Amino acid sequence: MTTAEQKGRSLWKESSFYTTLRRLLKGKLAMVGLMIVLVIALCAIFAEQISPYDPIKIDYMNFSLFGAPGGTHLMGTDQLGRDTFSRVIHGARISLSVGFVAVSIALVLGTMLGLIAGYKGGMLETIIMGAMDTIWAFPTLILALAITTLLGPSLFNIMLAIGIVYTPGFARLVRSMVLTVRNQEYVESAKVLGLSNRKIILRHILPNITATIIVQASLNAAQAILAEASLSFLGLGIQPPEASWGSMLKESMQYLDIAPWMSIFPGAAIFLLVLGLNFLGDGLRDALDIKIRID
Amino acid sequence: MWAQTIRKLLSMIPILLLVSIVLFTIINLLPGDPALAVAGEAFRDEALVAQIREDLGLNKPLVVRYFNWLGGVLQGDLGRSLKSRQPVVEIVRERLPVTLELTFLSMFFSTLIAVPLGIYAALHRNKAADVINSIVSMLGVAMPNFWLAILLILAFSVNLKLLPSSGYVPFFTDPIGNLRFMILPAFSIGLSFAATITRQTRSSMLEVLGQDYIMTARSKGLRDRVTIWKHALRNALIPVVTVISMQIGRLIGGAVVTETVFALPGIGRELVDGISQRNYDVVMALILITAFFVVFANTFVDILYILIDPRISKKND
Repeated sequence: MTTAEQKGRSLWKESSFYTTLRRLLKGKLAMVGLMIVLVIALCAIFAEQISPYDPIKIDYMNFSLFGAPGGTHLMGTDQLGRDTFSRVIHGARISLSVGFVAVSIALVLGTMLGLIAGYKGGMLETIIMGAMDTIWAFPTLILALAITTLLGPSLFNIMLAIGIVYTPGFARLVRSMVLTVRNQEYVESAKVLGLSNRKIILRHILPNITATIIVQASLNAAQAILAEASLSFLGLGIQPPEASWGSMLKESMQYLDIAPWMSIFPGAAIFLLVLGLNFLGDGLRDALDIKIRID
Repeated sequence: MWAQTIRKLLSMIPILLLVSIVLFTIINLLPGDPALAVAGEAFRDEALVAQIREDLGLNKPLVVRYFNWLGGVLQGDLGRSLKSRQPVVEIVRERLPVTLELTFLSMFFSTLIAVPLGIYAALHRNKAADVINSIVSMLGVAMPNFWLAILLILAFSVNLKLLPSSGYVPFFTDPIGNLRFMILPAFSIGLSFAATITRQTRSSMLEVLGQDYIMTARSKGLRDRVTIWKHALRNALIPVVTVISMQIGRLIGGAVVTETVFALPGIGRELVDGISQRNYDVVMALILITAFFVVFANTFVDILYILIDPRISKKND
């Protein structure tokens, strides 16, 4: 190994990314969480290949209505003879994409607003945080429900609605961190050097709060998935015949006594994904040594 | 301290006003014409629809309608249901107690169990009880309340036939019957709440127990019980109270979903139906009331801080 390679390797080992990754991999629960999320993500990506049946194809022909789990239908069939396993696998796509897109919307909007409010202060801060407090005052699910109805129940609108209701969480967090960072020496020095506000925010403040934002995002993704499932369960989210875990649970309610598997499997899928994301989020929080409370 | 309490209570007013504006705007922008919903099968009769629109005041500009509505709300007039023409106040009076009872029961019993569990886990860190407690809490936090509700119905109603899966009797008519209907829904919402509170209590207790002043109290020879109850718990409870207040909105949201599972006559079903039927006045009243509870809970906690932590009142005086 050349000296340059050795130097490169030691620099990599000293980097904060390496330290964080090592700490994350050491955490057993974080690893379990990562595995769960990875498996579900792979199922979502390769849903077409993994699913033995078409998730929305109705099958009256084979007398397979309310078929119990086992045999050719691993998780049984529903009231229309559709394969529950295939529907659960396809449902993963919706849950994961809602978790990812809704939280990305909240993250981008919330971080921008929090940065501006925290760094600029004054009237702008009062207006932004007033708006955030107003959204914060509504019960999350109820506001998401109203916005989804306003926009219409499509997948993107659900993502947008959930993204909007989670924005204040990010804005509040980012603003409070900016307030603590704003008067630190390195920011003061950047100001003295004549750097523009935009450069100070993007180059000096944002990198120092990124870790905390990532942790909040991973834990919020779990909440967003639960919110989508709740909306679909109430009948105001993803619409039939599309397979979403929440809408599958809604349909299963009528057949609890004759086909309990219809509710057990989609519910277990939501539970596992949320559990995995929570483990991963907690693990990231420990690995990055961040003290925040996420609700 | 009194001045601060009054200031906190007054700070609710601008937030609630903003909430009312946002709410009114969203609901009135909802697609669909409520006049058509009222006309029902006679929706083709344009003259009738125009008359209904006139009667409901839907022709007036949004701002005028907002102030009319707000004026009514401030005088206790929440409008009428477009479907049944029943005053919304009556609907609220019938439905709200069910949701409030459900929320209160789940919150009260969860806190009653979760806080001592969290303290016990912190005092027995890394022992078997703590590990079991942590595992149960982690599972509880991830459990979707409506799925838990379905599992409970499967176990206790469908299989064991111990508790009813749906229905309701008011508490004052038949207290035992009421609790039989409420146990499963309250448990469904309460589990994740209790899990969150246990985790928070454990972690803040551990943080406080590691502080210098606890070491000082112990080295002074104070008994463990005095150190824990008098010195540690008071400080450890501040973040716990914050988390409880932040969960109120989640509990109400959870109640809305859980009520649908157990067919409880609370605001949940009314709200969901109201939204799909464009029943404006009912939806606005119900959402405004839930928002009021969230804002009130947050303000109440701010006031509690002043009582729990004397530094806050000293700092601000």
